[in-house]
Amino acid sequence: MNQSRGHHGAPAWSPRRAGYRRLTAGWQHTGRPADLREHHDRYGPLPAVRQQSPRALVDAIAAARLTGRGGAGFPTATKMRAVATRRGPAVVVANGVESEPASQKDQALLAWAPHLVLDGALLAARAVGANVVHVCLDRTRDRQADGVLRAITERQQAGLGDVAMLAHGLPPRYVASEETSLIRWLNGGEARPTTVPPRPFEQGVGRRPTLVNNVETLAHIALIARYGPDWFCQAGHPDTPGTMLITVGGAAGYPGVYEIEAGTRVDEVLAMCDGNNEDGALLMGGYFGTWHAARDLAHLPLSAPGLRAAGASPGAGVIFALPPGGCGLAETARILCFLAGQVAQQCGPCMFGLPAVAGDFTRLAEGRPEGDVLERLDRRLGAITGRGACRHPDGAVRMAASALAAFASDARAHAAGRPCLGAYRRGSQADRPPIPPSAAATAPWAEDEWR
Amino acid sequence: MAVRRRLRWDPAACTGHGLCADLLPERIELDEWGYPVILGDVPPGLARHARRAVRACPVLALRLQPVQEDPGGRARS
Amino acid sequence: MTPAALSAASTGASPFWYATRAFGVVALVLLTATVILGIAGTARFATPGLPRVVTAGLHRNLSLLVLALVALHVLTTIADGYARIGLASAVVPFDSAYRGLWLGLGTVAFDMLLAVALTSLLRDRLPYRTWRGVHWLAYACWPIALWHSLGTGTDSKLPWLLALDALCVASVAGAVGWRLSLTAPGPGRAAAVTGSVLLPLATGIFVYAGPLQPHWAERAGTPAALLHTAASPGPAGGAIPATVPGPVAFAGRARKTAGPGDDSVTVTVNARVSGSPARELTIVLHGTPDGAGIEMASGSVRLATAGHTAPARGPVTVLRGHRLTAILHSQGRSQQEADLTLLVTGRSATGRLTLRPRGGA
Repeated sequence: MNQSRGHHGAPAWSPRRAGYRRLTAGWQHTGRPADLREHHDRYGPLPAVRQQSPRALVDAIAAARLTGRGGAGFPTATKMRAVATRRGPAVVVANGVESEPASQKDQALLAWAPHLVLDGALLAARAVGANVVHVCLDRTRDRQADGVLRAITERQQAGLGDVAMLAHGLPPRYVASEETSLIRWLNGGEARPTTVPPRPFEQGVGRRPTLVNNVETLAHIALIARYGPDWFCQAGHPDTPGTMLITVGGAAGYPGVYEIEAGTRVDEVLAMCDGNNEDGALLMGGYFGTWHAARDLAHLPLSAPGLRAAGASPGAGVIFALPPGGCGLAETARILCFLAGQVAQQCGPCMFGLPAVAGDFTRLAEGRPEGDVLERLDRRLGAITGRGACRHPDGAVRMAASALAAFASDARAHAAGRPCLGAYRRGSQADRPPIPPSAAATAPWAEDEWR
Repeated sequence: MAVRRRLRWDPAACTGHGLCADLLPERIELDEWGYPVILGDVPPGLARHARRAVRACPVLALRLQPVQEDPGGRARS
Repeated sequence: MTPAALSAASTGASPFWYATRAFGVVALVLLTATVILGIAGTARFATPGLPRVVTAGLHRNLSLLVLALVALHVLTTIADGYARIGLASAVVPFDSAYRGLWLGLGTVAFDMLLAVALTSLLRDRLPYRTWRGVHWLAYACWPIALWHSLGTGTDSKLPWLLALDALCVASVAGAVGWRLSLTAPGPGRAAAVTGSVLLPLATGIFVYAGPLQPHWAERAGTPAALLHTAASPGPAGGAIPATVPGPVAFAGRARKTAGPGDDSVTVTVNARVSGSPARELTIVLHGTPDGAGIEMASGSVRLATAGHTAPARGPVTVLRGHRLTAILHSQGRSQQEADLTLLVTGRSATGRLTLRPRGGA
């Protein structure tokens, strides 16, 4: 099987020689989405139930030390065990909503290798005793929905598995991809987070124990089930085994989605996409991440424990590079305006605080501050954190605070009405560094857009 | 063993009526948008007022929970 | 007798009847205040002198007071035997024989008030949405209570009470209007505005067409026993009508003539008594003019029943204000005491008649 020719006469993928090309093997090889046949040619069939008991699978995942790829980085085996030990049939939710505008990896994965994700979902369902999988997607992504539905149909026709798979389109709002939002929406409500109890693994969809996993996590599960935890740990670093998908954007020569070994050094990662700039800044972790001077992160491994030393986190593996001629405050202001427009409108401090902070930041970025804007921002940022039902305000505040720290001299310059360093460097250049398209300020959406 | 009580408010339910701050100004202040800021735990002396504040909330967003302090001084709630 | 102010008949009214009307009116006024305070709460109305906790506390305490007053209103109504309203009617709507619909509305309002109060007292044990849903009944409870008062109340026609009712309606309508002006436009607001305009309008029309028109008591459903004679045959061949348990209404015309004698006036009233068999009542009163009115001094009463040959007649023995008592004899039969209240306005005369057997033969 390992030596057989693949779908198009090219050498088949082999786990031994894969290196870091695991999830992206198909795309790398053919540049096209993999249908079921190609998927089985490349990766082999799904392990049958008698070959691998549910308990054995969870143990393998624990041995592989797989952590969630949705941003929180929670140990996957622990999550699965929490659901598996509950009585009654469970539910698996595959989170493919990816509402973070700076992240593209889940969309890429679902486009190239939907069957990896669906395999993983089926295996997870077996492991926790679930009889249904809900695949949650952004409802504005029609082509993605078509692709996923096609993959589900292929599997049904091939008679794969006895677990029902349903695809859903959720409203395209930033908070919609949060765990409790997904569950509330699946239960017939709005895609807004809930104040935590009951927790999803206790009572989620239909009051049943629910396992929510990012689609990339599920894809890794599909491979661990086939090739084992030892194989999984062959890539990556001892602290953080395996591979991960990242999205690099901004001032990089080749922005896009990459699969890397977890724990690769940041400057090596950026070198891959020609995004290295010693004097630049990086937004690490997406819109809820933190700003850092590029040189502060360059030698650190791209992993949760590795970046913790610098007070950063990879989040969902999103890196945005700010060029020397860019103004971090301006980018932050745009991001804050976007986040302020994405508020769930449930909690006062977030509903009023975020737009207030976004407004202040915008005026600061434009060099037209009112009053002691830095003091006001400082006060308000402290007043918003931790006072919402979800982490939306906290993430935004953390990002804003990190901008004020990373671009402190720029902030002082702007506050005094002087141009910042970026402006000097930019000189007469008219072109601006690229920013993720949805970072523009959006008008508040109508109420019915939550369903 | 003194039983201190902790005030908790539900940010999703709260709509900023502000009756809690009227009734327990020693422990509840309103931020610039009218939402409560809890200033600390409730000692036994203020427990009655704290209970009144909890009952007065029009949307029942405020709760009072006992926080037991064991002799080691660590709080368990 | 001076032309009396309008007043529905209240022959033999016990203190309970007065008490129940008083409790009812006060409860209605305080309920109005409660509703307005509740609306102020939803609008987050507050002044430095009137913080939220005060409006909220007042709203709560007044509502409990209303509950107590309504309970007393109910108990005094039951205690007063006049209308024979039983305990069941207090909580089972439309159960009473007395003005079934209008009393029933009061029962409905009372049931709603109980529901609102109970859920509010148990607020911290109930889900918030349950409490809120039940509390909305208050917006229905108040107009229903008002309509109950207008339909059942024996004082509905009194100008001062009408003025009070109008004030209540105006204040609630004003409060609702102010509250809606703070709401964002939309279908909900449009519906609420429509409702709050139609309701006072409907109430006004109802008041005009209902209690303000004569014979409202009958139309409202005051039981026949209280209005009409129970037409059961008396002792064999008896001409005397069977004793009625309560007052019977009569209506007819009044005529004023001079005489007999100088400086005296006679008022003759020819009226028909309601119910069957048909009876004619004739009252003749003599008196002297006295300022705006006539000071009646003596008179006689005659009651003729169709189908019987001999009418009952007799002198007026007691004349006080608009109340008269007369002793009626019929040929060879036992005497009857007739208690009448008489109202003469212009050329029309109305009143009530109660007949009682007089002790002895």
